[in-house]
Amino acid sequence: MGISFGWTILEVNCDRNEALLHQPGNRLGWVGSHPGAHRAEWWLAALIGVIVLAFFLWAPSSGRYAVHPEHGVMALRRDERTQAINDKAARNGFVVTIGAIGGITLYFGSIVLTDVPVTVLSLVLALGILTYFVSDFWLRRA
Amino acid sequence: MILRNRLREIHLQKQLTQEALADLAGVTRQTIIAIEKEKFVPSVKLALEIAQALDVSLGDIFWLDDSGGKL
Repeated sequence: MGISFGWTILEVNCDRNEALLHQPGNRLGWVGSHPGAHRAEWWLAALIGVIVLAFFLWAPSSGRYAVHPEHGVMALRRDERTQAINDKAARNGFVVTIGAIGGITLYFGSIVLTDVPVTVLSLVLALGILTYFVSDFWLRRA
Repeated sequence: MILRNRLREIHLQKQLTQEALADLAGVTRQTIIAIEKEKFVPSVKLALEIAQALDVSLGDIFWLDDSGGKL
């Protein structure tokens, strides 16, 4: 009963997507039930699987994680040095992000007198993330 | 004061590789290297774990050098 109910929902959704597909200017049309959409999802799942597998092959020899087999599926853990590096990199990223947000708030609020564009906020977030990774790399170089 | 150590000398005496010592102490090999080069100051807990892994006392590995510099 439950299975047939699920199939009914799937069919309804497919029909709905088919209907959406034919609407002019509909950006969700590509999500429709044509075979290409399902194949793309399959490849995406395979790609994510490969990335996860590659991570678990790389991580034990990366120097970023200590291996503790007694913890089972949680065997990969940061030791105190890598944790300290991670904390410093996160702190640097946070400080840069907050500083940049403060700077653009002052700039747009007192000089330009307009709303802060979303693209500028995206750049600030990107800058914070970049700072995190650069700090992480720099602190690990020893 | 600077925390000095003779970690490299002792693990070589004990015929332990950096990798083996890292496994015994539950840290990465890079952390052992950083401690040997005095670029990372371990916590008391980690220092004691390293001393236990090498079967020596803490004072045999680490000591404070007060000839100059900061800890």
